[in-house]
Amino acid sequence: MMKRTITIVIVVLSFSLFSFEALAGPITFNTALPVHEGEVIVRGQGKLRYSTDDPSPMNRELTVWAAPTVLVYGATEKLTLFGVIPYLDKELELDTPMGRISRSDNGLGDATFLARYTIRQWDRPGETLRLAPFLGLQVPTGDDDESDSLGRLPQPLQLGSGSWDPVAGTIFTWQTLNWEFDTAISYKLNTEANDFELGDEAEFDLSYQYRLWPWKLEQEEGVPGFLYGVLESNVIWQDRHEGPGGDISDSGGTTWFLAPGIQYVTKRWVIEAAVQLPVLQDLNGDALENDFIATAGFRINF
Amino acid sequence: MKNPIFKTVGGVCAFLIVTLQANAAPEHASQKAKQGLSDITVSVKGVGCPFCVYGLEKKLKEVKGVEDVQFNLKTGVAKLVLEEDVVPSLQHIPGAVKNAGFTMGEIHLTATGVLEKKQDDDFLTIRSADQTFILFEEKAEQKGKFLTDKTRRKLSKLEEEEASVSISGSIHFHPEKPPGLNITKVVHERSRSVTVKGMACEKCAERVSTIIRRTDSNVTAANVDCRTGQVQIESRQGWIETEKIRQAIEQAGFEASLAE
Repeated sequence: MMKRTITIVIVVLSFSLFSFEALAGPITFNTALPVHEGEVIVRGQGKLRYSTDDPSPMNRELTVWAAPTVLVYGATEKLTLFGVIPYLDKELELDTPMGRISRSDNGLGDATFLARYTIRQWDRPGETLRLAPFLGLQVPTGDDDESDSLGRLPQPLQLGSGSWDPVAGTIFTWQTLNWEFDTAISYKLNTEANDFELGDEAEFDLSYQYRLWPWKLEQEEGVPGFLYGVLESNVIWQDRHEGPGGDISDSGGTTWFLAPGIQYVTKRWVIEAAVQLPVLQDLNGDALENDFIATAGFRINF
Repeated sequence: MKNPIFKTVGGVCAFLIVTLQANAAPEHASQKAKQGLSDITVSVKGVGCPFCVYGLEKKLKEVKGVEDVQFNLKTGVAKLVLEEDVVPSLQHIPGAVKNAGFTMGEIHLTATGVLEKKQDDDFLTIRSADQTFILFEEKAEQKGKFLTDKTRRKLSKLEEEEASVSISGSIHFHPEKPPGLNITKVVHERSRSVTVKGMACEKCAERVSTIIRRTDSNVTAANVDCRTGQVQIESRQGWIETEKIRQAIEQAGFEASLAE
């Protein structure tokens, strides 16, 4: 009886969960910059999501560590293929009538495969504008039936969704030698599995990065490394989750993050870091709100 | 009475000085007449950050004959370092830039070689290390010609004299035709070989070199090999007074003939 009560409470008081986009550079989302034919880029990130702003009396604390690895391949100079596989470590602590409990899980999550195609390209010396739509599919490679001593973990704590979820969007990039502007919109259709369906997600992203060093690009220099200061914006809307009894009222909503960051770019590698800070969180019911999401990563091309 | 030791030492020193002078580098560095492509640069549009450069350099290095690529991010120009004795596949450069995801601007190069007239003197080409370029000027093309009259006269004279010429310009590719070279600069580095018989030592070689420079003041280098009798003459002008030089050398007591 007690175990059943705890399970229901966790399911009812579920929190918004959105996928960890690790495709970018921009740091928090993708870019339309070219990947040359035959090129391979490996991108690794470490992300920490910390959510403790709990409107409910359960004093929930959610800690999610994620390490997505992205493999990027230039099939042609216009068609780029992406494969993302994250390693996840999730832990949720909350107060219950039995006392404070912790439920956790770790392992590989759902993989995402994407194809991005450049449909428009305007090139000038030291400058480019690109428009590239993308299409993809998140596949259920992560475990979706994990359990602990209290029984089956609620769906948001599972490593995988168990469902096949298509995603589509488009990216626009405008890059000069001094700065870069990126914007993207995307929509993910979450489908049902295990009598549960995460709410669909829509995301609108903006990024502006300015070259801080070298302050002035000299004619004589070949290809120096660039240090960029970055400011990104992510507006994420998620629909309510659906369980066996219909819509889950304490789920879904809109979050707006601002993410200051820094990025150092050379010919062969990139290192970067950013912190997404919630500026606005309009979540439904007692959904758990985010404190921050910190990201650090690297990229290497071959 | 003169000291025989001093006389001997003095003679030896004089001989050494002459020998050293004969072996010293000529006033102008002698350059072997050469054919080939040099100073190849490719302007590329769309490159805005260092991470993009890697792919571009990698694709350009895949072009046959390209050993290395030096890209300048500010100017957007890639300088190609060529492999020795390999004819570069210029026609593959635009494809390499495209496959890197960028847009090609112009290819500039300097072609050093010999001029040839084609199709009943209709147009001139330069043949440089197994590559042929059709010569033209944009300003003449607008009037329906390949070259301006002034340039045509100048190049025709050089063609008749079989001069070694260096022509710089931008490349324009045409299907099923040799690429065009839009002339921006012409440097005629005239080079000619003469065979001289009768030189016994370095002193003779030095004497022949002096005769050549006095006969033709535009000669920049006269590389004389007294062992083989081969004389390589370089001139800053478009011609060499070869007949005058031959006569002057023969008047000095040697036998001279112009190499074919």
